[in-house]
This record gives sequence, C-alpha cells and structure tokens, in this order.
Amino acid sequence: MNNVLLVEDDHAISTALARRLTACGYQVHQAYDAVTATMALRKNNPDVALLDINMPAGNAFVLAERMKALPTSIPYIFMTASNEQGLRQRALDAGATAFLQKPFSAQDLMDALDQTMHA
Amino acid sequence: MSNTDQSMNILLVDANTGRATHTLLALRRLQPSLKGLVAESCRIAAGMLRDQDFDCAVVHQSTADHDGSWPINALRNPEDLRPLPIVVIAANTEYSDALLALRSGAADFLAERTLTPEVLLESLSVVVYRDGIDRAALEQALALEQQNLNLERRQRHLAEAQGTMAHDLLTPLAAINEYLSMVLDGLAGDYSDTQGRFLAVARGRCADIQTKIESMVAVADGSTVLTASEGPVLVEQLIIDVLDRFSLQAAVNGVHFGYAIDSGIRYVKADELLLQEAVINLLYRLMGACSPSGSVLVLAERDPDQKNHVRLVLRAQVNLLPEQMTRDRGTAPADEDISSAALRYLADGLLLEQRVDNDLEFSISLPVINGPALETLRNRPTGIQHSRSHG
Repeated sequence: MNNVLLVEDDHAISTALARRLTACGYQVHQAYDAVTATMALRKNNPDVALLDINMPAGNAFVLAERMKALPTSIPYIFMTASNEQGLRQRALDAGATAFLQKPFSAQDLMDALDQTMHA
Repeated sequence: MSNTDQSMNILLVDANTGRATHTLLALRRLQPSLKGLVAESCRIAAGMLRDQDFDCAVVHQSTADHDGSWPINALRNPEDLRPLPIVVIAANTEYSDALLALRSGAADFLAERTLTPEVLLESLSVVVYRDGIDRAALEQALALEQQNLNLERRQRHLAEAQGTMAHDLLTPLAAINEYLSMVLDGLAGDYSDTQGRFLAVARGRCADIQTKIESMVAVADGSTVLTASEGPVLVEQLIIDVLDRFSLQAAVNGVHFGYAIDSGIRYVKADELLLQEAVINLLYRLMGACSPSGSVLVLAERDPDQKNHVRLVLRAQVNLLPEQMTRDRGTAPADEDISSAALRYLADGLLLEQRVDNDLEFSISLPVINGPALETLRNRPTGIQHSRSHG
C-alpha cells in the first residue's frame, strides 16, 4: 500500500510533495485539477489520495463524492491553505481521514499518511 | 403623508352616501384644509385606496357589501407593513361590537348616536397623528434592521476575503517551506554546516511570516478584539439595558417583552461589553423570528447543570417552521451565521439554539461572582414586564 494520488493545483507544492513522498518510498501520481484527478483515480487505483481542497474544475469535496462512488474504497486526506472557519470539521464530516493545514511539516504529512494507511 | 396641521385626506365608506357627504362637508366646515372622498361600498373603497393615498378611512358599520366578514379586512392590503388606520362608526353601540372592531384593528370606534363632527374630527386628528408617529417608528426600525443586515453582509464578505487572502499568502509560503525542508532533509544532496545554518535561518523566517499572516488574518477577523476584561456584571441592569434597545422595534411589531430573575441572582462574571453584544445579537435573531404580537422573554435562573452558574435564557414564541425561518425571515435556524466575536467569546457557555414546541430559545451559562453593593438600577424601560421570584 504505497500508491499515492496527489491532487494539487500549485505545481511548486505538488512537485515538492511528490519528491518528498517518492523519497519516502511512495509511488506518486500527480493530478492538478479535479478532472484529471478523476481519470487518475480510475487508471491508477491508488491506495490513498492527498487532495488539495481548492482546485480548478471542482473542489476536494466534489472529488471525495466521486471517490465514494468507486467500486473500491480509497481513503483520502484533505489539505488546504484556507483558514475558513469550520473547514476542518467539514472535511472530516466528508470522510477525510486527516486534515493538513498548509504550511505543514514533513512529519505532519507522514503521520497523516501512516494514520490513513493503518486505519 | 399629511398630518393634522396640514391637509388630512380621508376616505368615508358608507352605503348611505348622502350621510357620508354630509359628514364630509361638516368636517370641512371645521377644518377647511381637510380633503376627502366618499365610497358607497368596501369594494369601491378598496379600489380607491389602490389609486390614492389616504391618511385614514372612516367606515360605517352598515356598509353595503359587508358580507359577514368585518369591513376593516376588506380595506386592508395584507402586504402593507403599516396598515391604513380605520375609524369605525356604528349605529349599534353594543360593547361586543366595539370590542370586535378594536380587535379587528380599528383605530377607534365611535357611536353614531353621540357622534358630532367635532368629535369625529378630534378622533381623526388623534388617529392620524398617532399613525404618523407609528410610521416614523417603523421606518426607523426598518432602517436599523437594514443597517444590521448590511453589517452582517459586510462581515460575510470580510470573512470570505480573509479566507482568500490567507489561502493566497500561505500557498506560496507552503511551497517555500517544503523546498527548504527537503534541502535540509538531504533530499537535494549534501550541504555544508554553514549552508545548513543559513537554510535553518530561512526556514525560521518562514515560520515568522506564517505567524504574521495568521495574526493579520486574526486581526481582520476581529478575533483579537477578544481581549476580554471580565468582571462582575449586574444581571438585571444588563437585561434592562439590552431590552431597552429593542423597545421601539418591539412596540412597532407588537412584540411583548418581559424578563424574570430568580431571587438572589445579582452578578455574573463576564466581559460586560461582549456579553451585551452577544445578548443583543441573539435578541435580534429572536425578534426576527418572533410571531407578530408574540412575546420575547429573558430569564435569569440558576443553572441546574453547573454549580454556581446563572443561566440566561432568551426565548421567543415562533410559529414558523425552521425552513420558513430562513426563507421568510432571513434568520437561519443553524448557528452558522451567528459568528460575531462576542458570541465566540461565549462559546463554552452558549447553547446556541433549542426549539420547544413553538418557542425558540437561546441560553448562556455564566459563573456567579460577588459584586459591589447594589446601586439603584438605571432607567427601567416602560412597557417591559419584570419580576423577581422570592422562592
């Protein structure tokens, strides 16, 4: 279980996170919007998805709904730079296994992935 | 709209148009500036009311198309915020008729048997004058309500802008932070001790910037106002001051205000301004949801769930379904639009909403504290019922 779908519209962050995850032994597929993320979900069958909440062509909540409709259950982690009140709770209510507030540390990311993988 | 010092414009509704014309002429003799028209039925009068503004209508109880329903209803447009004042003249002076007329919304009820033009003119003058005051009060209340709505809208826009700002500032910072971390973690190869120190400084400065962004957003959010200065707050004075602010709006809406305080309750520990702001916010919501001619009650009682705490309960009679509240009154049943700093300050002690039958209720639990010796309470607003239990 080390196949991660990383959905992040900011290319700089996406590249950095992908590199970090790869260095930690994960296989990473990157998507930059909800549409390509949907295609990647079907094609790559990831073990876990890291979803930026705000992204083009639909947000992480929409994508999470699509994931629930897939035949296999894929756990997902939400991440965001927004400080909107109640967003963390909304994310957890939407089924996210963890919520990462940007900027987050590498340790936070690894903890969230470990928690999700072993849930 | 005219008043009695200028030209009063009245509509006389009487099946006996000769009698009505005679009355109108008699009134004009007493007050030449008075203007008026005669309608022989409520149906005709309703049409005239649509075409022209009148200050008052005088309706004879025996009006022709009175079909069993009270003629007052036929002349009133249910969409009017402030209905036209109507004076009823009746040949029958039974007590029950007078009561029925007044309960139906008549501004005055006059017995034809003892009616003179002078009495009628006096009645009309008082009714029109009072209506002018009521209209002014209503306009003031509506203006206040609009200002409050504008304020809420601005707060929502501000919150959205804050969210966007935080997102736009923190996203590039997150990227910088992550790249620095990767280099420090050796993912980009080896680096010297000096390079490592410099990178650590850069990452430290990133953390500083993050703190400053969060502080800036917090300031914009108003949350830094929450430097609460807690002390003894005299419960009864707080309630009086707050209810006084709504007394005009309550009078216009026909809402009955009251409060009751359990014996022995004097002071609670709170930041007075924030508590007052919070109670005003909640009362404003209750006023918006309260039935016309309903009641709003504020109770101060011992909290059964927390020792040495007082529970402030704000309760209104509401005859709307929760979904109607949002649609019709602009008040949401959920707590999501109660987001002022004052309410967040009270978050731990605040039960945001509870519905019991037709009542909507908010309650706040506050710790009891000893305060200074009681001084005379400031102005107690008129028209507000109050009691202290002595149990």
